[in-house]
Amino acid sequence: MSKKASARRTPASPPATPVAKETEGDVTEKVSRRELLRAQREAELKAATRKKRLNVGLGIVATVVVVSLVAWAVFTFKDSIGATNAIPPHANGDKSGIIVNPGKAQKNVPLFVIYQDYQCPGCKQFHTVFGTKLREAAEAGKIQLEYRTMNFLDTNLQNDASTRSAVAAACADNVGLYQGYYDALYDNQPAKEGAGFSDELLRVTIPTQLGMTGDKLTGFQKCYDTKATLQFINGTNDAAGRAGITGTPKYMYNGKDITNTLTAEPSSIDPYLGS
Amino acid sequence: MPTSAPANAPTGWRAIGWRDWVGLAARLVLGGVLFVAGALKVTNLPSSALAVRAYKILQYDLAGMVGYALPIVEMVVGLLLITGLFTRWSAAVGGLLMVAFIIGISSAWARGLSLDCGCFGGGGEVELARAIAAYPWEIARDLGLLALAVWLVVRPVTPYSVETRLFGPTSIDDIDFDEE
Repeated sequence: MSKKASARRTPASPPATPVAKETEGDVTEKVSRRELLRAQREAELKAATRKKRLNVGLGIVATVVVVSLVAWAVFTFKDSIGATNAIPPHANGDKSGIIVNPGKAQKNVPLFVIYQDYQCPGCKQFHTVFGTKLREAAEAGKIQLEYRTMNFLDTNLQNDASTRSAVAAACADNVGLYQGYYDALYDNQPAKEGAGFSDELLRVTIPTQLGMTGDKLTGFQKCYDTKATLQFINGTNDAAGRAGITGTPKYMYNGKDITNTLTAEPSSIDPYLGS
Repeated sequence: MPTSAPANAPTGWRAIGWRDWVGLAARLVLGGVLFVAGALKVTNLPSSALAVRAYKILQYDLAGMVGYALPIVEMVVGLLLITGLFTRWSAAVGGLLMVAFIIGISSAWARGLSLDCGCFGGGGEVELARAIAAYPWEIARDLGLLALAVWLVVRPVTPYSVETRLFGPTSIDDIDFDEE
């Protein structure tokens, strides 16, 4: 295909001078020898060009493949290198999220899962409408409630606030304040998407509001400063992606996505809060 | 291609006809769009991976790899088309990309997904109304680009390409013939 294409580039005009000169002497023999030579050189040239094109073409393809693979590997594995992997005490069985009401759910109650990202404005809206009802149902043991946290919005918003806030909330589970920290993050979510959370807010202001002091506060801050729960958070994000979650919030009732059945009316969640 | 120019055309090249201009325009438009689309995404490859995953067509890890490779492939193919190198092959790859995009967007539309196509960066889930409004235009745009790619596959010879300059002559007629 490519050979044909390049052959077509050949100008149509014959070589200017040499042929015209061949009008005297032993013309026939000279011409046929010349033509033979010509054909030979033509073939050599074509072969050389084809080889050159093939080499360059393969070079381009190989470069694209290598660059893509390196980029993929760097972004995929950079976070897991040298990171500590602290699992929050109330992580669920497959480490895809944190159980909000550990030990409180009665037998055979529905599993209610929220996929969320602390920078997601929709998550804050849902939290504002349904947060209280969900918390009450979870406390009463009518549902088992799990928050599965994603940090994918960092990628789109080009910051690291989803990750830092998620790491902090997971650290708060160490001191038994996961739900409180979760609520505080949404209360403090900036009006402008992408403005993020400051370190001061995450490691001092919110913990103080929640009444963390002394060793608890020091332990929490150490967990946050060393990003001890980072691998766990990358894991919950990855698990959510593998579960087919490509946007937040997603409210799941016993594995079924009920997000679109919920309205701005708080009672629209009632059918899913157990009995 | 049949050469329409007289044998005594000044440069040895046949005269540039309207088909050549169409070919050149096709090269520059298809190449330009691909290059820009790739360049806008290459600065945030993880986001590109998310955009591909949002279509929920490819397996999770495969979708991630496609997301990383796609912007790089688009940029390289775009550059090749703009400069006029391996035009037929580059146009074929560009055309196949368009076919894949058209299938992806149509399938997302048919399944009721509300996606930003992520064609020029961004991507992921958006409000349904916005997505539904955009799908037809995205498909129309990609059909147009596909037509350009088909033209170039059928007729890859275009003026102002660096093909011959880089790879040298393919015929003795291309070089000065001053023997004897």
